[in-house]
Amino acid sequence: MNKLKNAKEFLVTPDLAPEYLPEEMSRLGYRVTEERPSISKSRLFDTFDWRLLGSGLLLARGRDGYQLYGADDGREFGRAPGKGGGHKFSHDFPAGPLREALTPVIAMRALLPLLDLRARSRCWEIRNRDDKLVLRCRWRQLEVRRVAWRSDPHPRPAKGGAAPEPLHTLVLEPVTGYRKPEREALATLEPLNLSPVSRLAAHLYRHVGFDLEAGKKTVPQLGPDWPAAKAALEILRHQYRVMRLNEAGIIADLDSEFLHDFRVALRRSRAAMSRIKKVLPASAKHFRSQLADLARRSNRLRDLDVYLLQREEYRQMLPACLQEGLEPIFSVLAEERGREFKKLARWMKGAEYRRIMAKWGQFLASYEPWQAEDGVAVPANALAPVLPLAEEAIAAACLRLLEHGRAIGPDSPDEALHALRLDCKKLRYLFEFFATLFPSEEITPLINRTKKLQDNLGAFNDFFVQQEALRHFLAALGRGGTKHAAGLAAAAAAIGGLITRLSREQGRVRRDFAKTFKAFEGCGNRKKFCPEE
Amino acid sequence: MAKTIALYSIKGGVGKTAATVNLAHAAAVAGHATLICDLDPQGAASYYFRVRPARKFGRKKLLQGGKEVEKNIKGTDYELLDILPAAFSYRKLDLSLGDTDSRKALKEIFRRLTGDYDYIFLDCPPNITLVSENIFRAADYVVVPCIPTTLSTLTLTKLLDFFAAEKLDRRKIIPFFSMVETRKRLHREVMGELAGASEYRFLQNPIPYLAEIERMGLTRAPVAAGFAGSPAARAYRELWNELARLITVG
Ligand SMILES: Nc1ncnc2c1ncn2[C@@H]1O[C@H](COP(=O)(O)OP(=O)(O)O)[C@@H](O)[C@H]1O
Ligand SMILES: [Mg+2]
Repeated sequence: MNKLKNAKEFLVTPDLAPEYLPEEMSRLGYRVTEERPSISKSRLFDTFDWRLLGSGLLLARGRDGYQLYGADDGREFGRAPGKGGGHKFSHDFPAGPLREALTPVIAMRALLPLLDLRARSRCWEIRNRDDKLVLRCRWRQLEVRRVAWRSDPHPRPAKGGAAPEPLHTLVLEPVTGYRKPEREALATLEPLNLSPVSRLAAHLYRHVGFDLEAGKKTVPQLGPDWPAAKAALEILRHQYRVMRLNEAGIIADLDSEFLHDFRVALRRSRAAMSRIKKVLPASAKHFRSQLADLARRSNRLRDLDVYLLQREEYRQMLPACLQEGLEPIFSVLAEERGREFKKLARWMKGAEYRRIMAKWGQFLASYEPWQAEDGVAVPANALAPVLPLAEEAIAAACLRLLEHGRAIGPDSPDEALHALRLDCKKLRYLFEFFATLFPSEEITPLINRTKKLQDNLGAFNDFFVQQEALRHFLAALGRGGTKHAAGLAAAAAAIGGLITRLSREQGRVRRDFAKTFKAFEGCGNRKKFCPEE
Repeated sequence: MAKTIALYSIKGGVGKTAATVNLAHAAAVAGHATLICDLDPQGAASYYFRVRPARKFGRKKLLQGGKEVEKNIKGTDYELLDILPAAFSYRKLDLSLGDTDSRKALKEIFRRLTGDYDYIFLDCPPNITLVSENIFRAADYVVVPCIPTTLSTLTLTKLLDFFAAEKLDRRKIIPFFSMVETRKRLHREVMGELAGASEYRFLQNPIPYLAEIERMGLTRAPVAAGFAGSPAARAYRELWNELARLITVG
């Protein structure tokens, strides 16, 4: 239906004459006419973690504004005017098909300008004896250049500023119902051994030096017979890279996800240090407290980010007449967020932060207990193979979770569930670190069960924490802690409305707990990893 | 879900095929995925698009429906516009439909295609036959070109009566004035009489008699493919806009 759907694109060398294929087709008896050559310029956008590309989408801004395409088939999802730029988040776009397709994919992430593309294109129409169009072929020269901007959060490419060589492609656009001309064109190209490009955008991004894998959140593959210290280091180095990768975006305040990913890596680093016991030297102890300090410094900013991201959701929880009461609250939160951000950014740009990270990085790069000379003390587990240690740690964490969970009844205090959430989290960290050591079909069902349990406990905790924060806010209102005295009553009413909703949700989640826990307890694979004699 | 629009008249030579080709082209230009099903064994619509049916395609394959039909759809030279070409064996389509003893056979076949398109245009052969009855049931709208003469008014009335007798939905019928020559007194009189008549519901935009439309047999292309600003191109575009509004409003 859409002719681009079946278009095939091939990378060709610069020395291939553009006219080669059209001439060959003409030799085969087709009528070939060249259309006017065209030039198009566009700028491509994606999020820092390549969400559009990952979902097979491409956002470009050209002369006609923004266009959202399928990255593989060129199918258009929507357009928006591009005047003035400043389209950073999906809500900056006007309502319409483009925003509708964009929003669920990029969510809270910012769109970053990545590369400028100038495509020079020559196009030939191939017609049969009825003068019916049966195939189009196109030769394209693509000049690409990375967009240079001050707050670009991507690591600089290794090689210096020289513009990359232009790329050349050949595109065949078949017409529905006319297979033979396409087959003949493909047969003509066969001896040239061309490589098809299934996702040109990814190719272009790599061509200008972007690393599409850099932000991958998956944990590295471990070997079962590795010394435990090597496994721990592999995990810690990965988390360290993720932290460094996100620094620039935090400092430039591009979107809230940079800090979030930074903090996840930070938490995993701390968890790895405490879950994988006796593998690091005593001299590494102080890093743990430094990382804890780092987390503390960003706690409030993250909390505020979360509140502000919930703005729409909170509005939806309230009847229309109470919604306006939220606005002064959110403006107070936004002001505080501005202050917290400045504080954190200043600190992260400062010498102390940089020194801590440099030292931590140096340690991770240089610690090699398996190279230790005779007589030098090595931590007890450092050289032990990782697999038995992992099995033991998982079994122990699982057992603790089971014991504490079984003790929880319908009348247990909320605290018991909060404590269980922490047990659950510890087990999740172990899975995150060690999953690659086990056959996927054995561990994945158990991971999924644990995830469901953690989701349940996490939601319970979330609803609790949100109510706490709102109660806190209510108290502050009462003490005149806000400049917006006029909106006081409306704000109090809105908060009351939210607390009512949230506590009802919390109750619902609490009732689901028993079922979710039972499912975890009864999971067949659970018994494999934690047999309980 | 695609809307199915049949271009139909009991009479031949009234501009059904010209309207099918140009309205479908206008729909595609407006950004809608559009399919023309050429149901007339003469294959005039297919001819305008320079498309021939595959040798193996014919009425039997059409009635098998599904993949057999999809396989034979061809892309036209225009973006978003496809065509299912007519086969000569369609002239016996009536016989085959008589065998299947179903007045909904074609409806089923087109329903399978509606997911891929926004609009499906059916270019119909003239006369009231089993084929036309099938078409009346398959189509969401039956658009009828009428040359403004007394005779064509009669045939329109006949069609409305047929719908009533067969308990078909008369609101499907949407006539428009075709091949209008404003210099002719008769045309003016008939149009003046019918334009406002509520029982017919004529579209407001007429298609004038234009040499450019007649020449389509030579150019073998929709009028708007030559010069989108020509009077003929404009007339079909305006007719399409009116029809599309009517369809979307319901
Ligand atoms: N508006 C018009 N002005 C001039 N000629 C027309 C017009 N509409 C159709 N024709 C010509 O009249 C002939 C019959 O038209 P056609 O669309 O094939 O009618 P039908 O499909 O109803 O048999 C064709 O030669 C066509 O080019
Ligand atoms: Mg006809």
